[in-house]
Amino acid sequence: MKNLLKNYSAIFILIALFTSCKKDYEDPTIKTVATGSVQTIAQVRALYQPGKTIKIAEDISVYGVVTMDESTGNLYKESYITDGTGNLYLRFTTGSGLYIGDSVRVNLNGAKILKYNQMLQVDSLHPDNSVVKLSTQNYVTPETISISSLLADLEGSQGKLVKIDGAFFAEGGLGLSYADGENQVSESRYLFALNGDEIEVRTSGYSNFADDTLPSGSGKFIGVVAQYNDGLQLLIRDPQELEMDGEAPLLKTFNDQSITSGGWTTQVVTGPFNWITNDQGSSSHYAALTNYDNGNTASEVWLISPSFNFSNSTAQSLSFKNASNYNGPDIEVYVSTNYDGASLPNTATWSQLSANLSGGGFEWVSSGIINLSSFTGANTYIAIKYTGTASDGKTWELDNIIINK
Amino acid sequence: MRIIKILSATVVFTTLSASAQTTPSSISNEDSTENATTIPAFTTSLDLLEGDAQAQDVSGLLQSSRDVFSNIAGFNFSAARYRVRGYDSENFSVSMNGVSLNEPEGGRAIWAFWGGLNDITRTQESKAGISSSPYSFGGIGGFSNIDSRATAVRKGTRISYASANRSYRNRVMVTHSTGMMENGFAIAVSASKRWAGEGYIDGTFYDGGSYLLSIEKKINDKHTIGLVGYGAPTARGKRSISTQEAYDLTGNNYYNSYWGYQNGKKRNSRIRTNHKPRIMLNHYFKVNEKTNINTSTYYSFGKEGNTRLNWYSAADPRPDYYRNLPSYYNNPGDEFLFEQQTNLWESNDPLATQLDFDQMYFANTKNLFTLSNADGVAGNSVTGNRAKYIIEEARKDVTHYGVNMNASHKHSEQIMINGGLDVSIYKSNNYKLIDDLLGADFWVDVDQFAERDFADETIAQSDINNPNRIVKEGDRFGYDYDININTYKGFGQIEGTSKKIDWFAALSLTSTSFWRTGNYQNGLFPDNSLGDSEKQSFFNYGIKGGAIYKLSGRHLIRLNGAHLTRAPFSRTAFVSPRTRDQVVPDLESEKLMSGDISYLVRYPKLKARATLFHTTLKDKTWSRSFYNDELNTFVNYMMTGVDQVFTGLEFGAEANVTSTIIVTGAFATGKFLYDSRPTATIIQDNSTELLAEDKTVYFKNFRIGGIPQTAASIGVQYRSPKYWFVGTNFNYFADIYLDANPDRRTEEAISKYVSSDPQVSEIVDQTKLDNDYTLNLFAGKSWKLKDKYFIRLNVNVNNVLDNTDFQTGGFEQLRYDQNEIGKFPPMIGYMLGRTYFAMVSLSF
Repeated sequence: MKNLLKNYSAIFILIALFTSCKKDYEDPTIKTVATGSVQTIAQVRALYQPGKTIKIAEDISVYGVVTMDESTGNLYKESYITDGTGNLYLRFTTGSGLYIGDSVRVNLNGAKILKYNQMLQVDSLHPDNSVVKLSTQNYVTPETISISSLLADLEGSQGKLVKIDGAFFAEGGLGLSYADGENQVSESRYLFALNGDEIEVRTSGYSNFADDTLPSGSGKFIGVVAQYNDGLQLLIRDPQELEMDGEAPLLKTFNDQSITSGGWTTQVVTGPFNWITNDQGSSSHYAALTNYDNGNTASEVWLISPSFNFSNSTAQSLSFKNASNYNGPDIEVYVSTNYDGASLPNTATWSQLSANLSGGGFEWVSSGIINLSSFTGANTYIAIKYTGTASDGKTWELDNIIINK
Repeated sequence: MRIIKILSATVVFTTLSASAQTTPSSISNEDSTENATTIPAFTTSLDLLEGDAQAQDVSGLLQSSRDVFSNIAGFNFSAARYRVRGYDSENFSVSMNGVSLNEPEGGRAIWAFWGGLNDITRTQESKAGISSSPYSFGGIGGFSNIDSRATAVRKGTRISYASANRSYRNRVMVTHSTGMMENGFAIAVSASKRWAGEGYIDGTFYDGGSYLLSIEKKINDKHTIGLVGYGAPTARGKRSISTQEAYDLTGNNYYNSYWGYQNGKKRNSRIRTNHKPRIMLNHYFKVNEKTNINTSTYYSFGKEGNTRLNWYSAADPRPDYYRNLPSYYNNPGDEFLFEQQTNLWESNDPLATQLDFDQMYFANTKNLFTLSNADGVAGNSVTGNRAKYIIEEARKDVTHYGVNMNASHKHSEQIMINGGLDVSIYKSNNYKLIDDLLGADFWVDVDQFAERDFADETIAQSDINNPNRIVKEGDRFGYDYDININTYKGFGQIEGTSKKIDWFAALSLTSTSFWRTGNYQNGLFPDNSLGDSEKQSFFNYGIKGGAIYKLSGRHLIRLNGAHLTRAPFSRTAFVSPRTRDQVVPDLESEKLMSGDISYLVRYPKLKARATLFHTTLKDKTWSRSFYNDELNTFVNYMMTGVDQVFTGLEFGAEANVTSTIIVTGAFATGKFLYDSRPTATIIQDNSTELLAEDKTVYFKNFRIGGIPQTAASIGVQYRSPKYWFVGTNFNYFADIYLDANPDRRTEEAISKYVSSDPQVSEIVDQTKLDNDYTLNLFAGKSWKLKDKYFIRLNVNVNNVLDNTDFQTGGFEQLRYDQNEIGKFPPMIGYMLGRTYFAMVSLSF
């Protein structure tokens, strides 16, 4: 028995040996991200020199709050920050790991400042080595702004978090989605204001809302502004922020290359010419009319809307874009509450409205929002009348006619 | 005189002779064979496909069979991933005291669960191929039954130490057996420890223990009871399998991407731990002189764990991820990055070639995040460092119990009847847990792929009943489900012997049912993830028979045949068990037909066997999941109606040329082919969207990959009458093919090209690897001290010529780009270079 114990003791020592299976590792020392000189976003933007890629080779820290992140997939390895002096578009070597509301310090050492398609960017940032998160959930209130104000200052609009009221999508009622998620192809949609101002909304095919249907109504839009060459693009952070459930105005864009789709009619009172669609010198179609064909011909041509019931409306309005060239009479804008929708215009009573018109040179202008609130008929028509004489006549172009009920 | 007996047993054993198996009291090369199985010898292609090379030590070969061919093959072919007759491991039955050790989910016998108990497991009875077996119906590849009865362990004490440079570097082993004592008890105890700070492969380590206690009590002449308990707690750092690019860049065919530095110390991200103890109660009932009934009840429990990195909202940290390799930058415009990355890799800069744990800690300790509605509580905001990188552990916790009864009845001198009943109740609980947060404060239990794809946050929840869950080290997350498998088996066998003919016939009936129980309600699959799935039930049968015709006592002809059906394994039956209970469409039983004919020669100085075999396997189910870069999601790829055919020849011979010189030879060749056009179903894992259905895979006549289909060995041994021996084997391997990606063998894969386009053959043709050879050496000596102590020394060296360019296998990645087939090159594995195993033992 004693022998037995002796023999077994060796075995029990062995059993004791294999209890320590899991290896333990010491936590490494954590390096720090240097601060260096602190600059504002405006100062960082000013580091850019036209046509050059500026490589930062020193510790420069910029503080800001994240206004857009990658969580819906509409951005990829990108982020936007703001600090009150400006906005900055950041590009990372991999996913940024930043979230809206993060207050961050970004060390620009090793990064590049350049413009790509006119958008100023800080490129080649590393999500871990370049960024320190200071706190979370510091939400920036979007700036309420009009599309025209944005378009008036492309550079200043870059990276801005904006709210646009009364906005609606041109493609809103068509059942289209934000982008093509199936094939992961990005798409452009167009956001309108009541005055006819228009801005592109660009959505990544990788975003998780790409296949969601565009809102068909009008209301509050929130997004971040990016510049793409000579235009701006709005980027949606999350479609749940959009509150576009008001009744959308009627929008006639002529992009379907039809003058009469949607119940519109034309009445050629005098002359051989009528409104046609054209896309000369423009990225999209518009309606055009000239009385010149190897000489001018006396012309009177009306473009008449379908009937609107304004009896319950409170803020009914009209706007359209127009451009003109050459010499001759201006177009005239009318409204009627007793037109029958089919006969010649002179069978009805028309009230003329004043509109802001193009001064020539094919310069597009907005008519301005034309107040229709004094017209409350259940059967109201709006018309644009072209006039030319035998000796002169302008070419008039119309686009994006918006009638808000 | 006694020492000579022992020594001759030793020599006989090491020379792998036909009589060695019955003599357990010897030094054995089995020690090193066991070692060989722990290097990548028996990883199956499945493990490779999962990227888990060497995940499991699967038994595929009969180790100490009395068969001359099997012995040579087992000792010399295993390092080249040779598989007997091309069969998968589930065709070999391994049991202990009659109780099956093949795990029910995949049918494989995993040596790791009893690794290190060599002093016990060497006492086993094995037969190769279709044969009679008193324990069970068995597989078509053969069977081994380990006898762990205390009285089966040689009386005395044995202490050994081994040094090696393979997966472990040191091993100590102690075994003691009392033999049957006067009080009717016999006790055997064995324990071992194997370890390596770093194995042959960089970044691997090994820490394995094992223990066994066997008690036997003879109650009376009729009844004996036995109690056996054993286990082998093991932890090991794994090695990766990579593309040739990584090997070329690092100049190292054993490049391992799984490790990285933490605080200057090597750390492996992939650690496999397993400990699955088993307790067995045996009752040996000698009813009368003719009839024995042995009954075993057993209970097995424990765990397998495999760790790996996971990351959230962060870059893929794996150095050999294809976007981290220089080739990803080999495009116009990226010349600078390409050169920079290439230089980093070629200089073996660990920042490029290995994981960077320091950087992961750095990232984790500065990722401030506020989780709203944490743990599903409205308004509960938790702010802290959310982990970007973690080490998670995939766990399989098993409970398995059952009863096995075997009866034998000697009907007459000529007729022996055996029968058995077996009940097995198995359950595995599969889940993930957080192993290490790497310095972060928490991880959030959401599916990041679903989170990215769906705006609805519910869909991304791993468990919608516990949404937005904050998990920390030790917490379960991700998935949690059980696999339940109940099997009821019965078999009967009759064996006859006569002067000219020995014969046997056997029948088996098996009822199998398995089902999944989901413990989480997955946000993507709320309707089919929680609770019990439908039960999949199968009723299967097998018949087999064989005869040996004795031309004379020296020359024999043997003929065997078997036909059986086999329930599909739960491992491949579920499309994606982690998320849902969906099974592969048209799940059905596999059908096997096998036959072989052998000619055997048995002279005292010459033993030889030649065998022709032909086996068909029909209606196998095949399923894999892989990450599809285009879809940015996991994809489940399933094939049904996979048929395979195995035809070939085996030859083994051993001749005593003189009283001291033995020459051995073995040759095996075959055609192991796919034999059908399976139907593929492809499902996007995160949406169940059918990506393809009824897709025809033109797989007929493709070779089964990853194994040498031809292998040959020739050996010479010298046995000195002075109690030492030395020998060498030259081994040659040929017809090694890469495992083919089925999707590249479809009409859709080549639809872009006209048939004359060279790209068609690039996509479709199967890659054959180079033939290669190895040279092995072995030697041993023994001493006797004071008439009581025996010391034995045993050394063997594999791949003496240090051939490090031997590609032993590999597989094509399942993702591929039909425009650029080289974009996802195959994964290749190499045989280890020169390795040794040296052991000294003392027994008394």
